[in-house]
Amino acid sequence: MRLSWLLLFALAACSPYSFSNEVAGFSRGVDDLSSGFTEGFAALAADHAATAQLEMIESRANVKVKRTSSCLTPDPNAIPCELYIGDAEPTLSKVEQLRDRTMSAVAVLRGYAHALMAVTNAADRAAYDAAVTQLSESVGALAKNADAVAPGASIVAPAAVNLAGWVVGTALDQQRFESLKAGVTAAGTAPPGGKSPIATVAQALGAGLFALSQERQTALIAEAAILQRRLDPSLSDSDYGQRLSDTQAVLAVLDGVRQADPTAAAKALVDAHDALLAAINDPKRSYASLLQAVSDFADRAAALQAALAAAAELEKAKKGG
Amino acid sequence: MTTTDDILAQRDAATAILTAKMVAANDFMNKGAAGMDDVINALAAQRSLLAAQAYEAALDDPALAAALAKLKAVTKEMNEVAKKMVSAAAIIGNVNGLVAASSKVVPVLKGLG
Repeated sequence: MRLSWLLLFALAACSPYSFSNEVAGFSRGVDDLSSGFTEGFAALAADHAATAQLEMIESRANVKVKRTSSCLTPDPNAIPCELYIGDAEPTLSKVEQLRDRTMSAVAVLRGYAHALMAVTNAADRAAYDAAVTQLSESVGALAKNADAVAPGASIVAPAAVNLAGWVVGTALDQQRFESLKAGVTAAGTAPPGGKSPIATVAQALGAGLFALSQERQTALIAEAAILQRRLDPSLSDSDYGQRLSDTQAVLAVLDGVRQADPTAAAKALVDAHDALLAAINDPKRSYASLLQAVSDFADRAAALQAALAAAAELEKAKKGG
Repeated sequence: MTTTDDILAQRDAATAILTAKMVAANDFMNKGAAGMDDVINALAAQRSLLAAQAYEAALDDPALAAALAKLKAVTKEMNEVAKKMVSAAAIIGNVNGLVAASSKVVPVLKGLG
């Protein structure tokens, strides 16, 4: 009995860091990457539509309605119903075809980040138990996703991920800390010679963000080229100024996409997670590094999200002015 | 280094070649050379395709270990074509060759090359 009290006292005296602010920062960064993807795909569709419209206005030739693929038939590939010119109906780009796979990887990462937050924020035993279940499932999903990309990426079988729940007589602070540690360790530990599950999934995510960024740049370059061709010196000052503004607006979006670095954002995600793992194992020595890494990741993710989601409004061009 | 690292490194090498030629084409366009719009659009589209294909490869890593040597050979071939593209006429004359060379990356990344 006396030993138990001593143990409890020792656990309470440990006063583990909660890491709730840092985990929240990490989670916000993951949410921003997720938004960057979803809004980036929407902006890409808008880029393609704007470029097609400018081409139609420019050529005024043989505009067609998509018939076989989307407008008149059920469309399993989600190809939009739209007008087009040329001989072949436009199809979804490669990166658009991979959208569903991308979104499932993003969902796994979000689930994990949100589960970490749920554990650090659990206010009572019921909330804590639910959060541990959520974390166990999300770490399992992360391991499964990583193994699909690179077999052997996870050190544990997804089905075996079980982050122990409440231990009677232990303080909630300590319980939260132990579960956080177990979850972050499982997600962040690499097998010999390999990458950790979080690094494997983040790398694939980074490659997807890079592909989306490249596709948007291609569409914006084409759009800017058409707008530039429409800068006819014979236009009135007002029309010329408007077209100049339209061209500048597209170039501003292009510049933002060009400067945001998806690969660096994905690497910053892994660095922040590595720093979290290090700080959990040695808070006093590694806490400052954690703050810096989370801040860096949050900044990069927010910048990438803003760049990928940005869209140029070309009212004059759309009106054919 | 893992296979995925290698794949993405080759993606970046191929992307850099295409980007350098886009910049060169843009410089010639700004000096009045005709036909550079189409060159830039073709190279940008090829760059996008490579990025998307490398992404798919990153998602399907296991099938690709054997493709790396071929991928490096294709990047070398791209470099050789790119070296010829030093004037506006040479850019126009060789852009299809560069796109064709970079297109060989795609089947390799699909595991078919």
